[in-house]
Parts: sequence; structure tokens; C-alpha cells
Amino acid sequence: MENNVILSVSGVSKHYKYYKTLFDIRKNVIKAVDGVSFDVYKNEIFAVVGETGCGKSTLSKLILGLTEKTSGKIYFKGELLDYKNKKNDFRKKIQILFQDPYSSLNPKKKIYKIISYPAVRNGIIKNKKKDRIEFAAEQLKVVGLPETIALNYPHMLSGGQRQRIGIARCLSVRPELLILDEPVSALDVSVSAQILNLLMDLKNETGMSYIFITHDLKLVRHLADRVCVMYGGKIMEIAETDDFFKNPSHPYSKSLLESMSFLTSTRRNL
Amino acid sequence: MALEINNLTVELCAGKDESGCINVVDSLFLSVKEGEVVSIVGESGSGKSFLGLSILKLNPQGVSRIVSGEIKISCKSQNVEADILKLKPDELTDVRGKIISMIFQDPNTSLNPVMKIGEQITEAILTHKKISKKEAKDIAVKYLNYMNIDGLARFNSYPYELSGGMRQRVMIAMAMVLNPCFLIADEPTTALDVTTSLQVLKLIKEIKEKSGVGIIFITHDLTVARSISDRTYVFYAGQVMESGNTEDIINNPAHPYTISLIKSIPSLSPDYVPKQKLFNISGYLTKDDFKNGKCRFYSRCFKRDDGCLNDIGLRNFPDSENGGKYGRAVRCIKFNSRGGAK
Repeated sequence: MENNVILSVSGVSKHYKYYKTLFDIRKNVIKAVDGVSFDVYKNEIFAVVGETGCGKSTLSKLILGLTEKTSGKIYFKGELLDYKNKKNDFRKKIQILFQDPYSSLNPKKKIYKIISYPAVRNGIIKNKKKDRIEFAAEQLKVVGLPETIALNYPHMLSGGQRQRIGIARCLSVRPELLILDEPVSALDVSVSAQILNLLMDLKNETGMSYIFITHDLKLVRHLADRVCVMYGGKIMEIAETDDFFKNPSHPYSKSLLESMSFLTSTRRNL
Repeated sequence: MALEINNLTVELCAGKDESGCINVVDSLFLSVKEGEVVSIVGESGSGKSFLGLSILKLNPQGVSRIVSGEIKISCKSQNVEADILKLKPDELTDVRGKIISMIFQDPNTSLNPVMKIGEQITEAILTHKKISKKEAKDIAVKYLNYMNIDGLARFNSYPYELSGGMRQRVMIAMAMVLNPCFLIADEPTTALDVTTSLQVLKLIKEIKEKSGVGIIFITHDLTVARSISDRTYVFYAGQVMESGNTEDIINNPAHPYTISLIKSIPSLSPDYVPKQKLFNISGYLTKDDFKNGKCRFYSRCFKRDDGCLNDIGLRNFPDSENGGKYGRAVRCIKFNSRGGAK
């Protein structure tokens, strides 16, 4: 099993300091992520669940190196994850899909530029218009969009199409680990079904691992192999999905599951 | 006490000539009784929020126009019986907030960020009632307490000091403070996460039971609609595709659109098999779908054929009482009472 670990997070914390007033000498600390440890295996969907403000998104930022961690270590395939180390190209191997397709695409750039930028940045293709359009067209095929939209701007597309562009952008550098930060919560039911199907297909084709951040337990049940429940910056429970839904052990998991099953059951239970 | 919408058509125009006009709400019938929750379910862009605004005549003037129809309200506690579309502007002001009030989708943007929440609530009271500021404050505090917010302590808070769930509860307090007969809730839980949206839904249900307010609950989430509403209208491209008792619709959907909607949601029920392919509705809702003539769901329907090129209108289930008003109705030529459109 050891060799199958793709990402290993051990004892990672992120503490934010803040001052109540300008002359406050005490150091107040918010522990956004507090001593979190878990492993993610190859070709696995690892779901992180929790309510708003529990540190899910901070955790994803820490893994991506977008914020400095206070303490703890993260290993990617046994190597210490350090984005300053250019040799390993960690940026290429770990990618993120953002929650809101409306704000995560640059409105002033054409689609082909958006999709091919990570590839240009990582030296996969040359920074020439012709190359970039060709490359983008290939990526668009993967996510099931027509090549012609490569020359469009984001505002010309619908929400579902934009989220596909986001996926194409992540996949363009062939990552091994993809972090999905609430990928469908901004989309309609019918469109979110399309995106979820696409993500499942891509995972089976490429053998990627997903860290799936969400607060919707229906999606967790549908997709995930293992579930991790976070509350107040700490991990409350890590379990196999089936076990979790049959028999949640932590009280918070239970209450989370109750509030969810209330929504799906008949109104008599209210 | 009831709110009845008969044959309402609202037109939205872009461009100078008639060709840019579409019916965002098309010959709609809808009714809400006292103490009843009616939900309107549909995807974004289907015109459900526009309908909510049109009921209060808050639809943007200049680009949209109410073409025909009537919105009858009768409210015994306020002694009002009227047709909203025939009211003069100042009479309309009396209706808004006092007889029909509204909760908007996003509490973060619909509260004034530079006004204390207490002031915002008393403002609503003082606009409609001739009472002193102190009395108004008492009422506001009472209603805040009722929403599980410490009214006295929070009266002088600004919106940024509250969490999302609390802000939404302030919005509900503001909507309920004049004891209206009807409440339009436009996606009140969409911006909240699971545990807080549960609290808000429970609160709305509690209010309904205590005050007997009739609620129009606009949502895109069938599971939320199921947990709170008595009857459901499935809305697509400005038309009601199916209406009836919520449980009936979910357990036995008749319209292909409703069927596809239900199939595309993963479920938490024990016999659900995870990791299978989800059913998805092909394509997107476009402006062309709003054109009259053929069935508006035609371009995305999995059961379409040439018969669908004529819109047949909403048809009642033969066995349902009261017809389209309170019973089951469906807008699909494929549907027959024996087999259903499966």
C-alpha cells in the first residue's frame, strides 16, 4: 500500500494571527487548519467534507503552496513537496479546479490562451499563436467541446461550458493529482450531472487522483472512495465511503448526515 | 385567503423591434392557499425569479411588460381583495411588504451594508405603520428574537458582523415583521451550506405554522422543494411543465423534463448504486426555447418526435379534482393517463 500513496499530508497546520485593535499586543491566533494528517492513494477520489469556514479551502491552498504553512510536512510520491524546487515540477503534477467558473477565467483572454497558458509556462509547447490554438483544440476535444470556441471569449459561453474550460486547463499539463474545490456547486443540476460524468470518465482514462472538496454529501456518496470530515480546522473522521454512510462514528459526522438525509427524505420528517 | 395567478404573460424585450421579445412567463396559472408552501422548481434562466418579481410588479420597467393576465389577492387579516395588476402605484406600495413580502436569494448583497440591521427592520415597519420609533423597535426586537437572534444585543449590529445564516434570518425577520399574508422566498437557502440551510428551512416551516402565511418557494433544488413544500410547479422556459402534489411529482414524474431532473441527482437512499453514470439532459436552455409554437423542451427532450411541434398547453390529469388549480397537471403530448410518459 505504501507505494500507492500519491500525497501524504502529515501534521499540517495554518495559524492566522490577527490583532483586535491597532495597539493590541496580545497575539490572537485562528487555527484555520490544525494538525491535519492523511494519505491520498493513486486513482482514488478522496472527499473532504465540512461546513463553510472549517478550513477545507485553506487545506487545498496549503497543498498547492498558495499559502505558507505554519508547520507540518507534505510529501508527494515520497518526495518533500516544495514548489521552490524547480527540478521536480510539482506545479505540473498538482492542479486545481476552482468552484466558480464565472470568476476563475480571465474575461479579457480568449479561450485558447486560457487553456494553453499552463502548457506554455511549463515549456510543453512554444509560445506561438498557431501552436497554442492547435494545443487548445486538442484539449477541448478531451472535455467534449467544439474546437471552434477556442477563439471565443469566456462571456460567450454558458456556466457548464466554462467549467469544462476550467477542466481542460487543469488537464493540459497532465497532472497526477487534481484538487476539485466544489466543482459543481455553482452549476445547475442538469449541467452538474454532465460535469460529474466527465470527471469520472477522465479519472478512469488517465488514472489521476482527486481530492474532492465539497459540502454536498450526495456527491460524496456518488463519487468518493474515502471521506474525510473536517470541523474547525481538524479532521474528525476518515472512513471508507460505504462505512461512513452506513455507520458514521463521530458525532459531527452524524449530525451532518442527519441534516442531509432530512433534505432528501419526505417532509413528514421535518 | 388566497393568491391566484391567472393566465399571466410577461414579455421581455431586447433590441428595438418585436422580434427580440420573448415571453419569459407564458400563460401561467398558479395558486397559493393560506398556510401552504408552493415551490417553483426549474433551472437557472427558466424565468422563475422573474415570475417572483412580476408578482410584485418589480420586474424591470422598460425592457419587460406584463402583457396579460391577473394576479388576484385576498387577505382577510388586512382586509384586502384586489388585482395587483390593476392597482395604482401608491396602492401597490401598500401591497409590497405589507401583504406580499419577499426574501431574496443572497443575504450578503440584499442587506444595506452601511445601515444597522435594527434600523433596516424598523424602516420597513415605519413605512407602513404610523407608530413611534420606540414601538417599532420593540416589534423589531420581538421578531429578531423569534428568528433565534438575540434581538436587543444584535439590534445595533451591521450586516458584516453577522454570519450568512444569521443574515438570511434577518432578511426573514424583515419580511415577516408586518405579518404579511404571502411570502415569496427566492432561493433563500442557495447561498448557505447544508447545516445552516436546514436551520433556515425549519424556521420558514415554523413561521408558516404559527402565522398561516402562504409561501411561494422558488428553488432549483428538488430535494429542498421536497422537504418543505406541499405542492410543486416544475418550471421550464417560462412555462409550467408539470404541477401537483410534491410527493406525487417526485415519486411518479410525468413530464420528460421532471423525469430527467430527478434522474440527474445522486441520491442518499440506501438502494442507490454509486459511481454509475448520471443521467444528463443534453444541451442548454437557450433563448430560442422561449419561442412559441412547439413544446419548449423540444430541443432537449429524450422522447421528442414530430408530434411535439405543437404545444398542447397544460393538461389536467383526468382523475385529479379541481383541475389545474390544485390537482395534477402536465404539459406533454406523450402523456396519457394510463401509461405515463415513461
